[in-house]
Parts: sequence; C-alpha cells; structure tokens
Amino acid sequence: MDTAVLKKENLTAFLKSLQGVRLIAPVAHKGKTSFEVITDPGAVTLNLDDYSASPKKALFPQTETLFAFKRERDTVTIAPAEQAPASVVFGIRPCDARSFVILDRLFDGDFKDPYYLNKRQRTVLIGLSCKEPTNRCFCPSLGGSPSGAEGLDLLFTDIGDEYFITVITDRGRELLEPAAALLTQPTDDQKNKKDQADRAAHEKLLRAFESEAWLELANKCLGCGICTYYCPTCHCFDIQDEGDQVEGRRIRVWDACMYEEFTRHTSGANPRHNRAERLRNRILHKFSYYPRNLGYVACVGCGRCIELCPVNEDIIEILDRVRELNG
Amino acid sequence: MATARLKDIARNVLARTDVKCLIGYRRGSYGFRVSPCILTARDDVEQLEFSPLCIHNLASYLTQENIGPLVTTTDSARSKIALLVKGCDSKALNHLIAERGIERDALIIIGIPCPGVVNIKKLEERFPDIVERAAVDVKGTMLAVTIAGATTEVPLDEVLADKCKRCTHPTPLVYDELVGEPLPGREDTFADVVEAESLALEERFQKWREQFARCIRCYACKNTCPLCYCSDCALDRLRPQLIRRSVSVQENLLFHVTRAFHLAGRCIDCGECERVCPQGIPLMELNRKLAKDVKELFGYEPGLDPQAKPVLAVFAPDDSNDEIL
Repeated sequence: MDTAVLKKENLTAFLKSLQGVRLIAPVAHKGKTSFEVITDPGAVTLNLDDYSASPKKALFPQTETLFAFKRERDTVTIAPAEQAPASVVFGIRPCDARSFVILDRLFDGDFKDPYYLNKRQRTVLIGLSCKEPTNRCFCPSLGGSPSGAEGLDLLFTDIGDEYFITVITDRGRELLEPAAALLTQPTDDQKNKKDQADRAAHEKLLRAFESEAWLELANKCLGCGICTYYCPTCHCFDIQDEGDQVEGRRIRVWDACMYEEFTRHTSGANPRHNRAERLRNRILHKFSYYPRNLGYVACVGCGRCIELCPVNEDIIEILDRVRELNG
Repeated sequence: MATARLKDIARNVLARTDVKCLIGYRRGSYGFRVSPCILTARDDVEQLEFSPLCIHNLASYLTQENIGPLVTTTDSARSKIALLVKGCDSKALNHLIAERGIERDALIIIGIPCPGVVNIKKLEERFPDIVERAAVDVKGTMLAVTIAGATTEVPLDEVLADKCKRCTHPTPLVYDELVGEPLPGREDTFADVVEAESLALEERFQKWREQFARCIRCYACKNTCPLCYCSDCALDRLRPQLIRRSVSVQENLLFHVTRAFHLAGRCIDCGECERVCPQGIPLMELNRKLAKDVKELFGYEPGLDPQAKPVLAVFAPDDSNDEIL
C-alpha cells in the first residue's frame, strides 16, 4: 500500500490505533499551538498556519538530562538518563520535516550524538501537507515544497472530507497496519484532489527572495532568542551541571548565538561582541558554513523568524542585501 | 503635514556635527510590519515614517550597550543620539534620566503626540496574509487601512493596543521638538489589575504557573525593555547562579518574578515585553500590579518628571518602615 485514504472523522480513531507508542502532536493552549505529548487524541489541533513552535523539541528537547549523579560518602553513582519511549510525531509541516534531515547531518555526522539519534531511530514522523502557506513562507526557495515528503515516514494531505495518505517508508507502512480497517484505497477523484491541493499551495508561494534591499542589517536586533528557539534547524546548546554537591544532573539546554553571552570567553573577551557580528554568524552558519561542511542549507523557509521577530528583522531582506553585496 | 515636518526636523538633526545617529521608524518588509531604523545620513530621512504601526519603544536602543553598541560612527565628537518618541516612550526617557541611566544632554528628542498604536496581531487577524505593504491612518474613532490601493475603515478601539486604551500621556512629556498638536490623555483606572486581584491567591498562583510553564526563556522581554539594562544582569550569572539555565516552571517563575520586582516603581507601561513575547504571556499584568501597588503605597508614578527621585532608590529618614518585619 503506497497510498490510502482516511476519513477526517476517523482521525481520532487512527491516532488511538497507535498502541504502545508515545504520541506527540500539536495542541492549542491559550491561543498558541505547540507539539506536546498527547494523552487525549481528540485534543489534537491541526492548525498549521499558526506560527507554533516547531516539533524540533520532540527529538532535541530544550532542556535534556544527559545523566544524573549522586554522592554517598566516598562513592559517586552516575545514572544514565531515561530513554525516551518509542514515539510518533503527527502533524509535522513538510518544512519542519526537512529540518530533521538537516539536523541529522550534524547529530549523525562525525560525532554520533546518542541522545538525538536514540530518539530519532525510535520516532516515526507523520507530516501534513501545507494547505495555506502564509505570506512569510519561502520553502521552495530552499528546495522544499508545501507537499514535500523529505524526512517523513508518512504524509497526510487534506483533500476535503478525507486525508490522503502517502506512504514514504517501511516504518510508515507498518504504522498503518493496525489501522487498516479505517483506511480505503484512493479513488481517481481523491487522487485528483490531492494533486489540486498540492498545486494550490505552490501557487501561494511566489514571494521568495523578491524584496527591497535594506540599510541597516543588525543595529535594530534586540539580541533575544526568538529566531533561534523557534527555528526548526537551529541546534546550538549549552551543557550545565545543575544540583548541589551531593546530587544533581548534567543537562544540555538550547543556547542562542544571538545572545551576547554565547561567545563570551572566561577572560571576558568576546569575539562576537557586536550584534552585527552575531547576526552575520547566524546567517552565514545557515547559508554558508553548514552547506560547506555538511552539504545542506540549514534553513527550510518556514518563516517563523520573520513572523515572530519583534523588530522586523526579515531573513529574506537580509539575504537580498547579502546577494547585492556579493554582486 | 506631520511626516513632512518630521523629515525636515530629522534632516536638520542629521546635519549637525555632534549627532551620531537618529533612531526612527521605516516601513517594514511586508504587510503591517514597521521596522525600527538607525539613520546616519541626511539622505536617509526620506525613509522615515510615523503611523499607528510604529509600535516599538525606541528608547530601548539607548540602553543596550550590554547587547553590543550600535554601530554608527567612529567620530567621537558625534556624541548625541536623536530619537523619535511617543508619549509612553518619553516616560521611559524621563525615568532613565531620573535614575541617571542616560544623560539628557546626550539626547535630541523628537516627540510625536500619539493617537495610539495598533495591536499588530489583531490587525493581521482581520487582514490575514498581506504581503504588500499596507498603510494605516487614524480618522477620528476609525482606523483607515489601505491595502493595494483599497481602503477599509475599522473601529480604532477594536485594533488598538491595550496600553493605548488607558494611555494617560499620549503627548511626550520630554522633547526638543514636537511634531503635531498635543493630544488629551485617557484615564487609567487599573481595572485590569483590580480584576486580576479578585482571584484567590491559590488561583492566581495556578494561573501564573501555567503561564510561566510556557516561557521558552528567549529573553525578548528583558532585551526589549528600556529599563532592563544592567550591564551585568544577576539573572545571567553563572557564579552565583541564581537562576538555572534549565527551562522549567520553577526557574521561569523565578526569572519573571525577579524581573517584575526589579521593575516596580520603574515600569512606565510601554507594554513592549508583552508585545514581543512569542508565547503570548501577559507580562504586563505583573508589571501593572506592582505599578498599582507603588502608586497606592508611595503615591509615585515613574516617568512623569526627569527630576523625580526614583521611589525605591532613595533613602528617606522619615520612612515609617511599616513593611519591614
């Protein structure tokens, strides 16, 4: 089975069929949607054009225990962190799914990051095609597509009263097996609707890089962490020991290159003291260093940083300006 | 026309040999977005604009040396910074001057009486997914919204930022040049705080625990606050580490409560922390609760007078000390 159709009214039943795995999906809370561990599949909110946090934290949590330590008299016991259970992440935008492919290059690169990879191997990713890309989206400029399948195991597409399911990997196919009774083979009409949905979303995405040049690139930046923390591909972290002299834990926690402290040395010197230096690093890391070192542009065009920046720091404007500078 | 006069003033200011830069607003990259801009050349003033979309408090840029200096000029004779302020923003200047955070002489203040700024989120909900630049203009009690040549009017109060509905000082309190005619203020009854106070203590705590559980500690609230400018923030320190880097409701709560207390008697209600919060946490509820307490306990409101003595930064021998256990 490479394709299937699921009635929308059966979505909750489908999610309930995912026995024995932890389900992570978008839920709305106080007007914001975010990916959370789901206990009630009926609460899942598939509100994709809301600029909710990305599902990055499902595989790379903001704060993650690496191990715990405890001292008793003269011995120190070290307890490894609990392993995350096998999981399914449901409702991923295709741009965010690509971010996992990009993150794989780093966490599964020269150094194999066991914390990320353990979760990656035990997590099935189910995407949902973008029906209504927003005015901040520019995924095609970066090789993505509102109906892209890269990085996913299954892709759902809203075709009206049903979801059109495209199977991408064997893991995805296996996940559908317990739900076979809920699924039907697509009719020709449903296949047409899927094609139409894909085309309609593409036509909304013409803005791309066309934008006026701007004058000041970095002076207006407030140096906060919004762009990095919402970015599905930003992955820098800090490692800290938290606890007291008797017990505690070693954690890793997201860090942001836009913070002045990010590169501050013990001596107090800071090679990236100015916000211009920091902004340049963030842009070049995504569009120059990462492609050069790992073969991928580390941006998926999701538009979150554009939407949420308090001072209208617009990555498309920055890239336009950089392109002008390069002639 | 106000914009023409604004540009004339700006041109004259940037012609001066003692001015480093002028901080104003230019149109943003799309839709209703406006961008702060830091101008250095006279020719740049053509970009300047002012409208109810100019939501940012530009006074924030005066106190951000800890984030990194503004890169403008290396000419040390150019020591003054010019900036545009609305009524609320001017209160931040007054308080910064009062607590010696900035020197009045180092500023050239261009004041603009402000009919209120919009809540961009509300406007974007009404007019979703606008790519081309939109313009807005206040027409009495209505806001005229022009998109691609077509104008629609919406009631101003429905899209106004909350802080503007209770704005006591729409006309700047301190300025060198004023662009436009002074505007009357509204009354601030702290009705929102009174309502929040009606919750039982346990309910209040639960409410804020839920709010702070959502904080991602991006520090946008801290970085955009014109009055949050300690060069060495105690909350950032590793030794002693007062607040852990792990993001959890306990650490988040400690961060926000500490920040709110540090703003007691200092917050001037520009609302920037709440506006920039990407998680939609109603931070001004905390700040305004403390503002109301300070007003009731000490009869003090920050930002009204640059000569004022900041209420929690002075020692008064006749203080009754009732609050000290």
